[in-house]
Amino acid sequence: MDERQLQKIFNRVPAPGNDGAALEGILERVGRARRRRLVVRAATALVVIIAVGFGSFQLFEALRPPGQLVITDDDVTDADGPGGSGTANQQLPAEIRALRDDWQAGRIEIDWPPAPYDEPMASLAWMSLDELFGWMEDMALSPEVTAYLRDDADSEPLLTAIRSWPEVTAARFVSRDEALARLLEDVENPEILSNLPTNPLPNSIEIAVGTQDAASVVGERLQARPEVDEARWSADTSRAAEGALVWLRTHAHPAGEGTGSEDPATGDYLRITGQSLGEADVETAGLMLQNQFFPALLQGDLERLRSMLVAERRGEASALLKDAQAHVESAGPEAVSGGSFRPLVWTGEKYAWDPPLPVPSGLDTWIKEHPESRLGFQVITGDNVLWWFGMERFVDVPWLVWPGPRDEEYRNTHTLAELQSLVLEATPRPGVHVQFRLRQIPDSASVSADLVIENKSDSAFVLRASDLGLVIDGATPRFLSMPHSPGVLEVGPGETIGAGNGWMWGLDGPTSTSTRLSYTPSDPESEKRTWVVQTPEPH
Amino acid sequence: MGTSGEERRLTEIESAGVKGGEPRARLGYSSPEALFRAHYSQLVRVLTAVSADGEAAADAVQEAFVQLWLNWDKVAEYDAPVAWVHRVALNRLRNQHRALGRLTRALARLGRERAPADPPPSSPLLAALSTLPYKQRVAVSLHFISGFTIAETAEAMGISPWSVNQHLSRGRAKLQDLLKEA
Repeated sequence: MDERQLQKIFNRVPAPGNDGAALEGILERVGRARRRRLVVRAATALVVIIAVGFGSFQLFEALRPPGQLVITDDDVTDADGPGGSGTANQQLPAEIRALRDDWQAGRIEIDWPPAPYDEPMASLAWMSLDELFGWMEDMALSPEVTAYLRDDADSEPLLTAIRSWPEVTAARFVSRDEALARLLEDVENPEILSNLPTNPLPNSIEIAVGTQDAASVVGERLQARPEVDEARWSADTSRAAEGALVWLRTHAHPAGEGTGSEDPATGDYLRITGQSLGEADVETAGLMLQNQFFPALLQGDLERLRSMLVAERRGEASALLKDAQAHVESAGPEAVSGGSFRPLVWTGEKYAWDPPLPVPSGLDTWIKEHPESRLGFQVITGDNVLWWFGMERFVDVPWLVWPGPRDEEYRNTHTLAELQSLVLEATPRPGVHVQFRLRQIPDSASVSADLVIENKSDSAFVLRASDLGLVIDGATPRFLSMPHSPGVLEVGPGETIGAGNGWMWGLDGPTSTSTRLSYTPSDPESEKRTWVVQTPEPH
Repeated sequence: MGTSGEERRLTEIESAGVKGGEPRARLGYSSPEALFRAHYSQLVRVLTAVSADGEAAADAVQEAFVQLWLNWDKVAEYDAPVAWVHRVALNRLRNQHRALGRLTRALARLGRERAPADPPPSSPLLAALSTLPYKQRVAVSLHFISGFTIAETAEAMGISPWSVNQHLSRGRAKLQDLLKEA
């Protein structure tokens, strides 16, 4: 059979029936997508401006499309915990400034503007990073209260009352028209707001107060007033800043190194700088190890979870495996693990690639002694950085992930073998137990990450988190498919997902028998949770 | 110095792909609609050949064209907007299949029923193609249906021309054997 015969056979592949109907369908979907994009942009622009003036993190939440909640827990954030958004938490502005300083000094780079999948941050792309940092600092520092009024509220008596309160230093009525005018003035592209059918902004009263404590007092007092639809005060503004900070952290990386990201238009997975994977099929659990996986899961942010699916390289993993195995054979496990982890620490004052704190040989001890510190790690085998990620204790969502630099200095200082494993557990709502487990597989270059979700309640819940992991074939070192559903997964009473086979990440290796460090909530029912270190137990 | 066999084959395939004038993946289009009218049908055929599922193919292609419309300002400046839309469509198709597979496996793990198996391909060609590895399927489909050159195929698949050549050669050889048997 020659080329011409083959061509003839291919010519018989059927063509679609109706191009016109297809075109119509496409145009309709394009229209919908454009309208949604416009609304998101407009709404996000509103968020920024309102946030600048008033603070409104909740609007960020409101922008999230409906029906995407995975496991919701509005109380998951302990505002006054380490890294939290509470007014008492003085670390936030310091951290913002530190991150900005590092960026300005060229020590780190931040992927900016945000990729479109990072909505709502994507819609902030018209801000420069300088402006964003300024905004965040304002958010973190401003002791201010805003009362959004009901449509039928009489503002005058309320304004008079507010001015009489001892905590208040100034109060001003802002009409909805003025708010919109301010918005149009401040936003760089006012035309994106021109299609709003009505002015969505409410009348409001802006109140200046002397202290953060006073903001809470006044805010709570206003919340109880019938004229007030909603009161926002500095805790909210801090949270807005914190939200942006979390985003920036996760998109920050050492200068000269990149991070992986997905091109939302093509679906291609791009740029895994620092890795030399060839065409290795790393349909990776990077989403687990990349930034914010855990908070995103707890907050039910499906879009963000999807965005964390970082790397896909097609083909064979043999080149990578061969290299890694050769390195293991020549240098031994210690050399591999010695190059595996390197801490990146937020000291409370600055980000330190070179931690000034002495880190003892047992990382678990170090974590106990420095609960506010944040660690970053990278996994290296031979000359290949397989992945880098960080972990950050972040309120009761204990660890965030973070890219870390490669630095020879820390070889043999913090080893994978010393960490052995880390188990992070949460009860996002009563009866639902989530466990994230990271462990080293001894004598190999492997790290495994398991996620176990157990429904201890007497009713089913729906899990929508997609693509939660990767299975490594134990006998043959190759990457297999993801075991998890991308769609809706109902977890019935008493059911456990992810137990048994686990979802592993890394290269192949024998089953771990290492001990583990476990964190469990001391009081799952309580809003404020503390994490205690359990006695290491055999895994 | 003589030309190697691989180089000759590559040259032949390149020549076969450029059927008069400019390579089709690099043709400029004045609007997304012009590109749609020129390539929609052909692209659905390519994806049908790859997936043996005309409906899934049409879905993926339509999604790709939605992206084309939304990103037209950017894509229009690309060297090869046609290759771009092929690539997007192929990625969408692959994602659909993966999603389906994952759902099936997840349901199986939960003890639920598996989704019904896909119906067998409707023609000997599609049946033969379905036995080829994914990349070989894509490479031969792009070559025979879209008439892409090696370079265009490489761009559409996001792999190197060398790899395309390998996939195309192996895919074509295997396909010839299979169709001969059929």
